[in-house]
Parts: sequence; structure tokens; C-alpha cells
Amino acid sequence: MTLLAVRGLTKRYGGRVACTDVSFEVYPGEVLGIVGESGSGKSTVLQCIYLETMADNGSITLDGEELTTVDAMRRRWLRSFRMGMVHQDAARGLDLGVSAGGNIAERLLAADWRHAGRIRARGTELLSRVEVAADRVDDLASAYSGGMRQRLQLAKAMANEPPLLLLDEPTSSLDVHVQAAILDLVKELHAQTGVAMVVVSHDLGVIRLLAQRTLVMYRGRVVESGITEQVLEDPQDAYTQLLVASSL
Amino acid sequence: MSRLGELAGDATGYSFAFLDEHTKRELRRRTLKAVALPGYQVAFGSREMPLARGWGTGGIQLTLSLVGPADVVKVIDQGDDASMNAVNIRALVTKTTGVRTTRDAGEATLIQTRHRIPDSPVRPGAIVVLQVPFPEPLRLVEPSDAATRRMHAERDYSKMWLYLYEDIVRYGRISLSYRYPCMVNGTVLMDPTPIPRHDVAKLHQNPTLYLFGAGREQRVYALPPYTDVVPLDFEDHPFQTERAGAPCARCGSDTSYRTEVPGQGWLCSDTAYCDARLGVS
Repeated sequence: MTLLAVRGLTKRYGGRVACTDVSFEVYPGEVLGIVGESGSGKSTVLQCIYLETMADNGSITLDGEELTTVDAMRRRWLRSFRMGMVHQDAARGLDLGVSAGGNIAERLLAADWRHAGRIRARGTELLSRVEVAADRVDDLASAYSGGMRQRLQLAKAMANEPPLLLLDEPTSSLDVHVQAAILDLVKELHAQTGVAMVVVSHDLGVIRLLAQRTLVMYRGRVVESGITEQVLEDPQDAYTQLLVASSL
Repeated sequence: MSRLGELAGDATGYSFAFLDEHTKRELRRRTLKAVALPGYQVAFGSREMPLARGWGTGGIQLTLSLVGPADVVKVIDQGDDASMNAVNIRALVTKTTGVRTTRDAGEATLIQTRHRIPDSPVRPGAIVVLQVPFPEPLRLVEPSDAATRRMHAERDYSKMWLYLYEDIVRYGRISLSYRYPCMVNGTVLMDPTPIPRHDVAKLHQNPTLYLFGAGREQRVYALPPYTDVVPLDFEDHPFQTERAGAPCARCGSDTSYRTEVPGQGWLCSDTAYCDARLGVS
């Protein structure tokens, strides 16, 4: 049974094609990697799934529900309950003028939580799951470091325990040792909750560590897909070969 | 007669109730729409009035569009019939209509008010018109009008809820003292105007028709009789009305809305109510 099915997804910005005829599936509990250089359309695919931008063509179904035709209210509901997103730039995923607990509360309030004490307790619990100290729950998100903001985004994305997490370059803007800690955390969350993930990265190391299956995108098209090991160890497509050969 | 008056000749007279008939009719149509959609902000063509915008032009236009020769009008400002804003608005109404005015909330058929709802019972069938400085309850959390309209359309009030949650995190309680956001009929978020929470609590299932006019912002909205008006709150931080420090030092009321006046202690804010209890008029 597929959780997420993308069929023939195409998105243009004016005359430019961001992605074209992209198709793939994600099964419950699976981690799918999408790798490619900047401008290859991988982030656009993620934005289309998260309904931040509307696809021009193709279909996206989540648990059998067609996403490309939902209305705004349903879209908001889907984003609160069926999907979570971690942006590369934390400012896009968080309200930096609001406390860390408040950022998580936004999701819980959308789920009709109406008890401030319980909301705060749940926020603290989620923050401890992403290894943020409980006494930081009332601090403004703007007072958080880059690594902590990514942790907070993860906590927020997980607030209503959606079956699907979308990670857009989750560690690209972080120091190397913080990157490692966040990747460990993502792996651990996956092991604990069994949430399915789509991870977009230009970093083959991130993909190798997290993804069971990988798509390689080049100029808006999927040029190769398969088991991560296979794609990275025995690339068939000329572009993938170049990508693998040029990685450090 | 002034030179201008001479030039104007027969055209010097104003319409009954200052506004021309078409304007009044348009405003009544808007008001009907507002009544049909409780809490929804209906746009109207706010006219230039002989008082500054922000001084009750929305309320006065509603009052003038509704007043008829048989009406008895009461105007209060912060609970006081004698404050400058109330006196001037009452003067405009009487000068352009000749209708009778009163201080007695139980006698008035049309009450225009700012920042208060009378403490004495309103006469059945009377209409209460409130002056509105900011009709948009979401303005606190969202500066863009396009965005707030979308939020209303999608009933997306999470930002307002988040504001209240952050308030509790920061101050240990909801610190909003006026313009307390309320859900109307469980569908629309409404700004009840800067009335105290004491008065917000009165709006729920109230038998009176309340009309809200924002002249500067060009919006009218309404609460028909017996509408659900529920202030936003949390289970562990329920909505609470203000508590006065003492009964009214003048009339002894312990149920009215009272404010502390330096040197005089706690006094009823509704002066007509206070006077009536003392038998003074």
C-alpha cells in the first residue's frame, strides 16, 4: 500500500520548467531521498507535495486522497495532521517572534487543543524528544541557534504525529558536527516513530545515511532511481556518475 | 444670513437626520446584510460627517440611518451621557431630527454608545449602536487586510489563539483587557469594540440587537438578538470579567461595572444607572 504517490508532476515558473513528469511512490515508514544539484527541481517537488505551490500537471495522492485539488481549509488540515515540513531556512518554517513552545502550540491549537498547560507540557515533551532542554520551551525561537531551530522545526513537524515528513535540505546550513547530530536525531525519530520521509539534499552523504531509496534529478527530470546503495555504488546514468564521482 | 447661505438659496436645508435618503437606504441595506451574517464585517460607503473620523462617525451614521420621528435616543460615551463626545453626537441627532432624547436606558429605543453597554436593562426591541475604532479582530496578529479576509474565509484563527497562548506564557494570564476577541455563532471571530470584559460577557444570547459601525474603516457588523458570543479562552485560563475593588462608593452597587477614580474610590461607570439607583435624574 503506498502512502504517497506522485504521478507525472510538472511545474513551470513562467517559461522555465522547474520539474517535469516526475513520478514516484513512498511507502509507509520508508525514507526516500531526492538528490540533485541546485536548480534541478527537487525542492519544487517537495513544495508541490506540501502544497506550498500548486502543480501545473500531474497528480499527488496521500493515502489515496488527491492533493492537487483540495481547498484551502483542507490544505491547512493536511499540513497540520498528515504532513510535516522541515525547511532549509528555519525562518520559513518557524515564527521567530514567537516562543519555541508557541511554534509547536500553533500545530496543537490547529488540532483544537484548548488547555494552555497541556499544550506547554506537550511542547516540552516534543522538545525533549529532539534533545532541546526543557527550560528553553518559553524562549523566543529567534534566540535559538541554527541547529536548535532545525530541532524545533522537527518538533513542530512531529507535533500531531503525521505519517509523512518532508525534509528540504535539513542540514545544509549547519556546521559539520551539528549536521551529524541532526542527522542522528532524524534517524532516531524515524526508528522510534516509523514516520515516512522524503529527504531532499544535494549532499550525497545525507542521502546515503538516511534514504533507503533514492531518486536522482537533473534539469527537472528524474534521471535515475533505485535502492540508495545501488544508485550510489553503481550509477547507470551519465549525470549520476558525474555526481557520484565529484562528491568528496 | 451668510453669503454662502444666500447663494445656496432653497438648498440650505438638510435632510431629516442629516444624511440624504439614498445614503440612509444604502446603509440600511448593509445593516440588513450584517444582521443576516452575524459578526461578519460588511463594507459600506462611509460618508464625510461633521465630526472627525475616529470620533464615532460609524456609530452616528448607523444611528442617523435608523432614527425615525418617534424614536427616543440615548447617547453615552464610556457610560456617561454628559461626556463631550456624547453631548455633541446627541446635539447633531436632535438638531437634524428633532427627536426626544433620554438618559434612561429603559426608555430609549435607540442607544448609541462608545466603550460601554448600559448596566440598566435596555428596553425590549431597542437597538444598541456601538462605535468601533478597529473592526478587525485579527489586526492584532496580522497587518494585511487581504490576509485577514482569507483567514476569516477559512476560519483560520490559529494566529489569534497563538497570541493568547503566548500571552499566558509571558504573563501567566490572558492580558487583553478590551477588544477581547469573541467567536460569533461558532463561525466568525468578532471584535466587540473596546468595551470592558464585564460587557463582553453580556453579549452572549442577549435579547437586544447590537449594531457596530466603524466609520474610518468603513465597516458595519451586527449581533442579532440571541446570538452565541463566546470569548476565546483556554480550559485552564477561562475568560474572566474585571473585578472592582469595592461596591460603588456612591450608589453601593456591587454588580455594575466600576472604575476607580482617584480620591473618590470605586464608582459606577454608567452614570445614568448610578443616578437612577440614588433617585437623582
